[in-house]
Amino acid sequence: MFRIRKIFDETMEQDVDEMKKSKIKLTGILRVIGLSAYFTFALTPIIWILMMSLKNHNDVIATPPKFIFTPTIENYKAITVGMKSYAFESVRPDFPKYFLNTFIIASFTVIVSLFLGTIAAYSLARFSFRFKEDIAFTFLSFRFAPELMVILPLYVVFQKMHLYDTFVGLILAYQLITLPFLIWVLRGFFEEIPREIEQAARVDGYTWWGVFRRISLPLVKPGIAAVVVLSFIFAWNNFIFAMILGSERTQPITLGILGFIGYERVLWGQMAAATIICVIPELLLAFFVQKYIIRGLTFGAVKG
Amino acid sequence: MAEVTLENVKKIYGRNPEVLAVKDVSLHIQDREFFVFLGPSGCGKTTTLRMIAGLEEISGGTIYFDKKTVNDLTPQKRNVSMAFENYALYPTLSVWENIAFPLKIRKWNNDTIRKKMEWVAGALQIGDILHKKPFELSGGQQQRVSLARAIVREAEVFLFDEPLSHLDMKQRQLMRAEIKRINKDLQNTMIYVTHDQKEAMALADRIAVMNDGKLQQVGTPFEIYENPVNEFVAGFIGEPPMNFLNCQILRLNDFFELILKKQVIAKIHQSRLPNQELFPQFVRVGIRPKRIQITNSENKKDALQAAVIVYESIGEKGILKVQLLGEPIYLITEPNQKFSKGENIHLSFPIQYLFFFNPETGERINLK
Amino acid sequence: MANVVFDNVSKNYDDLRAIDRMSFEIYDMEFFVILGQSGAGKTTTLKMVAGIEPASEGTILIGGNPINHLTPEKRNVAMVFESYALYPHLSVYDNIAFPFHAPENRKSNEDIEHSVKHIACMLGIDQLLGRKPSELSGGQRQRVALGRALVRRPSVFLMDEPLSHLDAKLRNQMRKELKSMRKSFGTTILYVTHDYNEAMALGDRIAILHKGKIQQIDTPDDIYYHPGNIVIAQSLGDPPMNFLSGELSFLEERFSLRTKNLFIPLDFVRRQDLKSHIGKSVTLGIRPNHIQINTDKSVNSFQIPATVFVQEYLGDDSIISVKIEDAMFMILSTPEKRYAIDENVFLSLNQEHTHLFLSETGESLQIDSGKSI
Repeated sequence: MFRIRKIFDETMEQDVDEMKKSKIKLTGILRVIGLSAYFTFALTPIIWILMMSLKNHNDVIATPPKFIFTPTIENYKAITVGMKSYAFESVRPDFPKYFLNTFIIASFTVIVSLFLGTIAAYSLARFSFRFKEDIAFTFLSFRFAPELMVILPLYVVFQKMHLYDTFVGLILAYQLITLPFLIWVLRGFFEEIPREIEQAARVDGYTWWGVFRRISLPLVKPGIAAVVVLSFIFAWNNFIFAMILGSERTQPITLGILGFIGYERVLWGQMAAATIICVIPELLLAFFVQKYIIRGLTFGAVKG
Repeated sequence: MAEVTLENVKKIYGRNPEVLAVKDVSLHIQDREFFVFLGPSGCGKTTTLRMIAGLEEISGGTIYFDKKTVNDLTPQKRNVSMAFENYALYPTLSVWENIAFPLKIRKWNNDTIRKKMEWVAGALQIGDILHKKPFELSGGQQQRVSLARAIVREAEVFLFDEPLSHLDMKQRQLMRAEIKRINKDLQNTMIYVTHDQKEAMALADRIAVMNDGKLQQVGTPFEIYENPVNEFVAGFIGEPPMNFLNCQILRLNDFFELILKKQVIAKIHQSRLPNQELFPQFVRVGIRPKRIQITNSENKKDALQAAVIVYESIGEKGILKVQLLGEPIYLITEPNQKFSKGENIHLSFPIQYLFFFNPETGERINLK
Repeated sequence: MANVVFDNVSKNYDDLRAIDRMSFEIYDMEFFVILGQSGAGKTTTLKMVAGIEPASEGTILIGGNPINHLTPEKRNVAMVFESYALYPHLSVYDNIAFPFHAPENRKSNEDIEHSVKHIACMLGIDQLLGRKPSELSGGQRQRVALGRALVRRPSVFLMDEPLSHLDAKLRNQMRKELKSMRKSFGTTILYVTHDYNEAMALGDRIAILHKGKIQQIDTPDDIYYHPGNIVIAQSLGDPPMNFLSGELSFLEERFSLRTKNLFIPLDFVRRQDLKSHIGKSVTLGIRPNHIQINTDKSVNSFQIPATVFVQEYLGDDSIISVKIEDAMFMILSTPEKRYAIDENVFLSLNQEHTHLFLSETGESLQIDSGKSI
């Protein structure tokens, strides 16, 4: 398609007028400027938070902001091993517990989504059955409504079914966020596998389940890697579901960090340190999975 | 109507000036000539055409239309028209509008456009599809429209980039004859790119054979076929291609014997050798599949024994693959012969049909 | 090692009839080729045998057993796909060994290794076993695809245009290789192609498929020399057969073809029962290599006047396109003789190889139920 488009453009070019070369150079410069602007925009808050987490309380609230200061790891110590270096420990939230909660919720959310989603995506990609497109659309439509709209009825249901403030309940609710996304992305990946590869495997003596396990699944590895990372991040960073459907027992970090905003004062430094720690697992996951996210693995299967 | 001259034309892709897609191509295309660039994919033929069209920057050298340098002119200013491999029709326009598009943009008046359209519709037999949209057309019809759009303008040079490669065999054959006739009728300079040697032979007044960015030979189809300058050109033309054998040369009295694995396959009288001293000890001997003779077994004296590997009878001709002293050799025979696998036949190589090439450089060695 | 029987097989896609009541037998160990244009239903036919597409009606039997109800893995057929369909994440070795890991034909590891090595040597890809498909050239992928199909002993070997993605030179070379290896396949082969060269070179018998219907099944020579209708006549030959339409007339006990300005005697037509067709529109067909082209008018025999449209020099031979009234004829001739554009020439047709078809239905008027005039 792209190639045809390209040739088509060239004809137009030839018949109408050629694009000026200086224009091309100009777009190049604009691109660099645009990218740098975005880069600054995206990175500044992160760097700011990092700096904040390494400052003591006085430095944090100093105006004008201090760029040169003596770094301290007191904030980190405070939220992890609970060094009582401040007089306001009564407001100190139980950070390790929140961290563990988040970890449990996000991991199981991804595992459940992956199991259900892969099978659903494959079925949507490969089998034809009644209301197929309607079902696919329904999955997607879960994401249309603002979360708040879903959450109130859900709250009532959860109360009645004793799912309120349970891990199972939260993991179930989180499926609303991760599952549609996972199904739609993986469906695309499955559809990209040439049907003939699967047919060849059928003729080679495998049942459809064998083909799924030995051919299709390995071929969508890059897709799975990508959705695992993104689903994990979605689940990890969710705030509103956890706030309404969970309470003290299941509270994740996102809510935990709020706890640093106390009645009498805000623990900016510890809040920043908590945020930084909170980002680490996501970074690690993305880093390890990255090598699997190589597209074009199917290249070479067909023709050439 | 113009002559096109290329002088040391180069094309560099990327940053490395050592990697040349087109290496110092110099040639002269005459006015009204049908000129074909032929070569395998990646040989630089399409790049050369696109440089002539102005769609690709020229990294070095000069291109002239008549006496005028066109290096810095945009495609539009060069007054060339081009037909593409993928047709590149404007999908939202009807056939009529597609063809008239380049005329309208040049602000021709309606009467002239109508006249021109009538002529082109007649020449390419598309009169009955003028109102259709491209998606309603078959591949062959789309190709006709794309050709019509290219020739309807009175361009100085018509350029064709493999326009027939997506057609089936039958249509290709028909369009080939028509394009050639249009060139003869219009008397325009046409430059055509293809990887299909048969198409090049059929269409061209002259062919430029390219390989690896380098110009190998420029000549009429007859010259290219009968008088190739090197092994590449000889092997690229013809289907099945020319057979090549590595032979040793030994002198015996007045004769030079060509020896393939201890067996003499032909003798050349010394008077025919251009320069006996320079004639290498080993040569690559080439012979076209059509020129090898099958002799009947009584006349065995000079004949070489070969074993049949495969025989294909495909309508107009038969193709025989045999093994001669361990080397595969292709022959073109009459159709409907009876050969069975493993059968022994006897071959002779008429000396007048042999080509000699330097085994190191691939250059042709001419006999007198 | 089995025969394949199509018994009244049809295939419908919604409203479209892709295959229309197909009945024929492929003999045991035969190399059977289905030749047809794209969209004729060739691949559908193969997929029905493989079990990838179910047949809508009729029965397919392999070795006498109906297989309609069997899933692909139970049919013991092997298939080479047009696109090769190699498994991109597996090495060449694992691709070829893949069928043996299926429960249907499991083997011990030594046996697998032996079989894979054997087939790889036969196909000349034994050096490539460690590579991934993406690291192979088109011709090598093609061989791997063949290897994967050949490695077990299927009862039927299906090939779907296996050579169509190779360039011309490689294609011709592989064609000859396939033909010479054919005995070592040791199985029934059903081969599908749109290239008449492949069909004629490889097939023991050819079936011409057109718009989902079998037109004729015969040996290559029979199909080439005795086509049953115009569609069949058109599907073989390069350049294709030439056609000239006119009215069948009968004068002085001789049949002839009357066009706008010409009276072409049809001395080869001897069947008197053609008299019922007198006055009907018929089409004369003749292949480019069965026409002789002369510059002078001969007095002895009938010749058709024509004007040269264009001549193509091809080295080995030459194609001269001429116009007879409005019809374009192509003539295959030796390269030595040159003709000028618009030169007047005279054609004599080789009567023995001239065909006559009824224009309305396209059917041959020379072929009865039994192939003779």
